[in-house]
Amino acid sequence: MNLAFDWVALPPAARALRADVRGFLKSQLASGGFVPRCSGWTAFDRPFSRACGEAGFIGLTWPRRWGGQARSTLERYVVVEELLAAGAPVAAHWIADRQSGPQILRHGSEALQAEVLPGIVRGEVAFVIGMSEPDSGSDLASIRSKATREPGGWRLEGRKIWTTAGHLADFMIGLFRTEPADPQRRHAGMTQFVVNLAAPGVSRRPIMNITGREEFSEITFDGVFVPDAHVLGEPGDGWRLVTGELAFERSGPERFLSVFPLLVECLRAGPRTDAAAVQAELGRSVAHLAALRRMALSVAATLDAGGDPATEAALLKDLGNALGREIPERLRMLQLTDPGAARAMPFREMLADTVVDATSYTLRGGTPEVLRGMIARGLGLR
Amino acid sequence: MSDTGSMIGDAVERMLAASAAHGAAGEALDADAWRTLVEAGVPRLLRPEAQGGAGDAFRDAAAVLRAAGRHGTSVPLADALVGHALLARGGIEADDSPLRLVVDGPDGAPDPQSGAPAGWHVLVLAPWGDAARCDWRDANGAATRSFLIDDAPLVRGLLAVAGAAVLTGAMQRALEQSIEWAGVRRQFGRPIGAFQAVQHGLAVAAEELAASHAALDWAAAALQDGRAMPAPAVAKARAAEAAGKVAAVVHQVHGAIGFTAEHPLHRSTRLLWRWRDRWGDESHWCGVLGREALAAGPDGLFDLVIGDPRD
Repeated sequence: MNLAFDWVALPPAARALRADVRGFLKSQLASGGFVPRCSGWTAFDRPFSRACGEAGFIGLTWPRRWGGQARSTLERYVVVEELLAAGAPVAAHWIADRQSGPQILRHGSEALQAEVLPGIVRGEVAFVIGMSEPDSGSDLASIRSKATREPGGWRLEGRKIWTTAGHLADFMIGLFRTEPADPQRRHAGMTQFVVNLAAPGVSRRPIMNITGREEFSEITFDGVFVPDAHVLGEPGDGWRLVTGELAFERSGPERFLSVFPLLVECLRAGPRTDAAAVQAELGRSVAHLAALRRMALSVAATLDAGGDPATEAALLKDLGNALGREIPERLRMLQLTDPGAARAMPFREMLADTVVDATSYTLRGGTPEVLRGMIARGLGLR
Repeated sequence: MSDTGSMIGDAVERMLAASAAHGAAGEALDADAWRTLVEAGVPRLLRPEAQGGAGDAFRDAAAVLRAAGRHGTSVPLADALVGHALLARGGIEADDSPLRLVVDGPDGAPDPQSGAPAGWHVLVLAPWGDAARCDWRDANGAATRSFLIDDAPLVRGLLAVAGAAVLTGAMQRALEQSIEWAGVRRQFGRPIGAFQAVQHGLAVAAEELAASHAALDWAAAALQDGRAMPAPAVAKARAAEAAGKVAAVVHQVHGAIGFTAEHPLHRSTRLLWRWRDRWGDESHWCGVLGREALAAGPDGLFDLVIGDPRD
């Protein structure tokens, strides 16, 4: 058992950066650029992402030649936590900034990097994650969508589903079978591709979720051509690549800050400040969020140092998702304000929405059932 | 995870690992272990250098107490470390007798460990106001002194960090024992650790430990910098809540053998149940943080979570 959550201090440059982000958010709020909401990282808003790009808040850690700023992961951490805490709609650049861009930097060709990274940094190119399929959820290695060799590239057939912003974005990093499934070598024979979602043969269908929003979608590939330059890593090495990508996906502060705007709205509603139960519940939320934040900072530092915090990221996500589901349930029990009070309405509306949305926290990006298995392996139990 | 990140923490880890475990934690004093610690000057760590200490070495103190919690040794090390830090501020030289620190409950509730054996120093502390009031009775009962410490927030922060450190160490040991046992104990023809239900329980316990550990490291570093709010309160609130969850998992994994007085598991879990309550339980520290949150308001709430711009 050796879980690495070593203490780290933020670099001095992070302080100025935090002030920049807060200034940006303040002016965006003042000009009606966005309305705060929980899980802002699933709210797709291209103008807002372009504004983030102009302000220099995307691709901070990437090389300067692609428009990046070659900053540390901890500096980037400060930017993303401020955007999340404010409930800003960042979905149009979130996935590209968090995992697709870093994945392309590590495993993509020079030509591919030149093609997509500068656009991501400007907030103009949106990515999605192509993992789940109709018959492959937690058991990702069972995917059936496949790619077959063609002169100069590959031809895709199959279907991806539950793809957040799949009907709105520009590219997908998708995992496809490039060799027939082999029960003896379940993780062999898969490859990651960067797929242009505007290519012929791609059809997309948004799926409305139980909050009433069209946030995820189904994408069908019917003979879609992908050039060799859009292959990530070596053909057949896709499983190793996708697990590396998941560490980026799971380790961020969105896993516990998604409900932070609800706590802010709760304070805005004017809760009874003298009630011990109100104090204890708010304090518990602060304690849990602060502890998770220290863990997320440690994981960011590990990623910066080139380490592989897959177990730590799984642990952070599981703990963060559990808290995200708990906070709305517990705030609900407090009877924080007079139900009829007008100033309490925004809180009550956000609470009702978050209770429903929180159902997805423990589904997307890895379920507790899968994550706890990974942690158990990290503990040496499997 | 035996590396505590502190030279003196590692040294105490080795001392306690070498000293045999006598009796159940929290009962009779382990006199050999106490003597070893005293000879190394450990209980006086937080006194000024001129008095054989290292000054306000709070990160080292946290590492030492985590090691002590991990070994579950029957020595009042948290009481002594904090007690000597307070006595030094009151200008009191005390000998190396064991020390019991009795903290007035935040709501007037009695400290669950209010009694002290004969021959121990007793320091009664009322830390919840603007100044911390200390009443000391010498180990031989000859002298008594009372004094005030102005920096009550620092005193409270030290209590929180010390308690969180003991809890984190005890959780670590309890989890290590449980992982080992889950690999050894066989039922239905395989180790119980091969069952998913058992694995998931232990994974949750590991999450609770990791969160407590991360909060503790942060709190000790913050206190070292003289910042007593909010990190220490976060650390104790988080670890105290985690303690009950971890204790439940590790006893479930151990089954009946862990419920016997003979098995060492309860050395760890008794520490968890005692220390989650001592010096402010999670409802106390969550209440403290909640009042800070209400004072911070909607626009200041995230700064409270961050703690300090440097963090």
